[in-house]
Amino acid sequence: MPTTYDPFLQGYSGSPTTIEWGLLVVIYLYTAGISAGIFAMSGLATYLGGGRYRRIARLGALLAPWPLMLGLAMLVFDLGRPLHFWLLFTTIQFTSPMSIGSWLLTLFVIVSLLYLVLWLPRPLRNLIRVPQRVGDLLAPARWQPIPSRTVRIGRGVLAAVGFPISLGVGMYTGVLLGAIPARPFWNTPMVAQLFLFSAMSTGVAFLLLVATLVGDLLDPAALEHERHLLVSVDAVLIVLEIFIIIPFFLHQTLNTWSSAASLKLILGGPFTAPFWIGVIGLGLLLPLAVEGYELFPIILKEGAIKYRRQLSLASSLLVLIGGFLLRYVFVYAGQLSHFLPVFAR
Amino acid sequence: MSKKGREAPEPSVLDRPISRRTFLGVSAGTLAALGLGLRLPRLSLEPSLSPDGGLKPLPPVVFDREVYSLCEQCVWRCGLVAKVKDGKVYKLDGNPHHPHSNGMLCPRGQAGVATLYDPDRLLYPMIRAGERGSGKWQRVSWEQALDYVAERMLEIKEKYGPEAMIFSTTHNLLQPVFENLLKAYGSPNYGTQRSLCFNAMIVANLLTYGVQEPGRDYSAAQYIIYTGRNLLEAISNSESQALVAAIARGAKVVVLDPRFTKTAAKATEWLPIKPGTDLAFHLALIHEIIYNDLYDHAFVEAYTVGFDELKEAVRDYTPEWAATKTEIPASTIRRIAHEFALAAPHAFAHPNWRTSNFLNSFQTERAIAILNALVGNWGQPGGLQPAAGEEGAGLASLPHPPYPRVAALRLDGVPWKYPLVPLKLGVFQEIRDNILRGEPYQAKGWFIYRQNPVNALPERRKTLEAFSKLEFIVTIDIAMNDTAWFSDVVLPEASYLERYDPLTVVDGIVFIRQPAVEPLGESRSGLWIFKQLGERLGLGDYFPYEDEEDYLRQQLAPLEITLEELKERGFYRLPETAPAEAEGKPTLSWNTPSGKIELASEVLRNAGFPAVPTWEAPPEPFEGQFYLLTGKVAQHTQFATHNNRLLHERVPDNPLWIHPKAAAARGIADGDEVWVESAAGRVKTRAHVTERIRPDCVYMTPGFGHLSKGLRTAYGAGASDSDLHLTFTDPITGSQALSQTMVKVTKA
Amino acid sequence: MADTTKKTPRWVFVMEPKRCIDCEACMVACSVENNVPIGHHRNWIAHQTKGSYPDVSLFFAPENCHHCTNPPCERVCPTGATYRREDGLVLIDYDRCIGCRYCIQACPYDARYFDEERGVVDKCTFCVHRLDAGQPPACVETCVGGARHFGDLNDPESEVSKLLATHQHYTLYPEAGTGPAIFYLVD
Repeated sequence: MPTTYDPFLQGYSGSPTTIEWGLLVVIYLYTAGISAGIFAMSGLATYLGGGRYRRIARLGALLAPWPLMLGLAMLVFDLGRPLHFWLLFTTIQFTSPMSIGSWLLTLFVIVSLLYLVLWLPRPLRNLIRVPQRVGDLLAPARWQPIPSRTVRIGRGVLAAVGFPISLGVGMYTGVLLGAIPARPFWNTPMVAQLFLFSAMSTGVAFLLLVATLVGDLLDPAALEHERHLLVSVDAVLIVLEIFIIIPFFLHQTLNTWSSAASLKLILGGPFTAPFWIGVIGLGLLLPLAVEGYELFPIILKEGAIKYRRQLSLASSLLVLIGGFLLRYVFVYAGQLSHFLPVFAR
Repeated sequence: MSKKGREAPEPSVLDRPISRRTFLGVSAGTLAALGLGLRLPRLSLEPSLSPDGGLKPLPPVVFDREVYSLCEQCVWRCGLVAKVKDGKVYKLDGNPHHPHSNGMLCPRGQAGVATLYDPDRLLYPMIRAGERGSGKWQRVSWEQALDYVAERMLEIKEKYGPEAMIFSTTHNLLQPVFENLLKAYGSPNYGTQRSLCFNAMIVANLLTYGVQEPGRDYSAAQYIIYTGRNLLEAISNSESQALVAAIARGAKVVVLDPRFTKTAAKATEWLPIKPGTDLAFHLALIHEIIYNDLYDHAFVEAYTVGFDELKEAVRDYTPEWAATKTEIPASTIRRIAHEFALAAPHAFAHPNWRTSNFLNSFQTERAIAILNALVGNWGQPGGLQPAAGEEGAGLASLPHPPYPRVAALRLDGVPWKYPLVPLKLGVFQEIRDNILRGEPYQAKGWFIYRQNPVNALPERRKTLEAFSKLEFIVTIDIAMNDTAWFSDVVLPEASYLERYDPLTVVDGIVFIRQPAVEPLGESRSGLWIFKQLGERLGLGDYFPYEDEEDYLRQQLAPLEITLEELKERGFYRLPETAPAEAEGKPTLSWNTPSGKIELASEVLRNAGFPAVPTWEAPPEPFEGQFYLLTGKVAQHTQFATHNNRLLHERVPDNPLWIHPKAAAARGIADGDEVWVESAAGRVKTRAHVTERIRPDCVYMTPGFGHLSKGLRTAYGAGASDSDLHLTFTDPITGSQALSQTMVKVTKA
Repeated sequence: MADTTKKTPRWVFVMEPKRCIDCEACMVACSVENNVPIGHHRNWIAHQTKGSYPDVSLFFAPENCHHCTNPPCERVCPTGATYRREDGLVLIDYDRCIGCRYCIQACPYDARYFDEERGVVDKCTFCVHRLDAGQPPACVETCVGGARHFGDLNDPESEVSKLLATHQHYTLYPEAGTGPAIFYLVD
């Protein structure tokens, strides 16, 4: 793991760079994005097509909280004083993306867990008893399963409430990095959108992966339109990501010397291969090609989607790998980028 | 948002609703111990300076005592103030009243706490329990150790004569007592490190000016020429301060050095001179100044002898001639000669310090001394100054019975082989070589105090071989340095922060070294050790003091101040003695045979050497070889500081400096491992490819590559240049020529 | 130190690179004074080597935390552990630090370090404990070259005020908009 990168040094040495944020932080940003993407997709599925995508909605609801919870565990473990993480919740620092983020994540966890409960299959859901009237709060014996109407309305409300929160979670992981002028590789407005669309894309890919793997337990034919939704949403997201990466490069190159030099980290520097082969090739172009192939007939209005199990597995895995590598490259490369040492001027 | 210190914050809109007190009430240390998170151990100093060891770093500590004393991390001996609490030293600061520190301490001085609390301190006397260098020791009591040492020393005296015992030490405050011991014992063999350092400079100045080392006035200097003296890395605190002030003021500084040192970096002009040819440069300056009539006629006529002889001798030493030797353009040499003469008398060529470079370094020093004389800067503002008074003047000396007469020749060849070397300087490496040769007699024992000959002498292998010829070796030191590691008996001296040493006088002010804290373990002061030993050797009369404080009181007897007062204040200004010169007029007599400045020296002529500075060509490397340069860094002192954890952190090793072209030709990239090989041996080290050195030179910072496993931080750090250096001794001054070793460098 | 009973001081450094000799006495003094763990540092000497033999130059300048007027570390701290005092000092309330190291990312000067043993972030405090006792920071006191000047910018008679009034000076990374309290004199 390199700890210095020469274009920033130019014969200068001062306080050395340290890589403070490592794999634990990368995993956290990655899983937060996946959870956000899953929930957003599930929320979308709740409203679209009048129930046609119920099973996507259910699958998403059941999966959404877990990647993030894993990531949060990693994050707390990474702290210098893990048992003091609760200090985050004794204040809101509006200028600190991390402070805002910790509150956002808390909201997301609460909403997604409640949402999960409401989407549990009925036998499981009925095991949970809640008070029906305020007066019953202290009388657990009189608690009943959640009424269907509450469930129906609740799902809609939580989906509506949770959708912007998911977008917030997806964006905030980018804002966390983008808000740091001291790390020119990060300090671009593009990074928030990039991470958002990547979050959505990896979330959808995760759903696609799980759906494909458990598809044999369900009726394959019935999955067609659901798979169509997932694949086309993912394809659109990938295209959007590409159209964010292009201005990312343009802006950085035309920005300050430090910003332009920071691009060298992925244009010849130590992260060139992981970025171009991993993020762009495996994570964007290749899955887009696969999904394009699957969607081809529909796009040309020639016939049914060319669905194949292997293709879905391939494209979803590739997106997931690419999404991880995106976080990896950004977190590590960013920490090697610096302002130009002033004495060189 | 504003909050004060660690008190409760002022209420604000972002006020936290929950109290800051952790309701868990458990310290961070305990939580860390529960295995949460991976923690690297903190290699903090002992004692822990954080009293509660918890979240808060050092709070404002109120010290119990502030003790005035003297640093010992190098020979400059700056005054310091030790801040003490609960019997531990927390911090060292410079003593503003001491002219060597002016209130500031260099990095080594500041790191003194890590020397004091070095986990590898020698804490009790030990006698070797295995082969020499095996690291097997038996701890014994002081009684046993001192009895044993005295017994062996008396045995040697009995069987072989007192001359068979060598005594050696390096510049320190206890030297008068040490010399007392060896003279009382009756040995003529006194080794100091001076021939590895400044013999050339001292002998040249003694012969020219009659003083060992002229002073320098930086405050008014407009032009200064340095011949290698890397004053900003080989820090002599107050003099380094003075140089920086002169540079900041706009003085022009010219540095001759094959390496772009930090002094060169701050100087006005750096001349990357070919090693060993500084002599040619200065001879050319002398030529220019004489033949262009730029010298101070009045001064030369009135106060020097030998001008005509000098003029004739330098006739052919033109800048053009010098350019072929030095690889410095003739126009540059010419220009500097004119600039120097123009700025005179407010200009000086620094007499240098360590001049153990080439066999012709003596001639270089003579040339520098004469260059200064020609422009008449003696005693002028910004020029050379008459030296300060004798160290120790004003204090009483302790009485002693007459010393026994010594008939034996000295092992270092003074004066029978080196007639011009002062007795007090000696030729240290000759001692080692004569132990090996057994000439003029076989030495049998070596008593070493505060010195590290195993590392200091060139050709380390030879020194260890010399050790094997000796029956008894005893070393007194504060840590298990390489010499102690190979000794028979090791006696632990208390460090400089734990002991009294004899009082010293600097610039007319008496300074005290006193203990800031109790000595660790069973370590004791040198004053105590020598008295104890002296008594056991039957020489008790030569140590007429009860204890350390008694010694100091006797020194203070003629003065108006008590020991208690001196301990309190840290210094005492001696009453003014009648000034040797009236205000403004410099001292215009020199302690030479002619009473004047000797441009031509009869003493040299009579001894069969050139009377005036004469060109001597230095050796040159063969094709593919390099000059091996040596030098200093600000963070280390010779061989003494490498186990200090704070200084080790700053400079942990000594990679080989090599020019990019030379490196490329050998396929060496920055950081690659390389073999450096001389006729004496070879070492493996890392390469540091840099533009800051001549392509025909390589450089290693000395002092690394320790052999002693008793120095757990220093052991294995870097490579030793003592393993590479060959021994070359100047017949005039006995000076070593440490830069005459040529080396081959290959990729490992 | 000047009499500051009437006005709150504004503590600043004025560095004179011309006088810095890269001896690192300031680094050792700081580590001892503040019990900085070995392997970390609160201050350092920045240096720049330029050119090729024999036209080489070497530039040194002392540096530590710049105690910015607009500190990015304070901005990003999620618990409010890092705060700025009225006299300009940016300090850390260790009780509130959870060791997330976001502030280390945010600092353009790389002035902060993570103290693994205590689990919190730490940095130069301008020796606040010495300031409160009327003494200069440890690094200033020991600087052999006299390159580190320190004082109260709110006092027009202070050495730092006079130096800034009579010399051209610059700060590091002005594009970061941090408003640092360390000024460098032009050679």
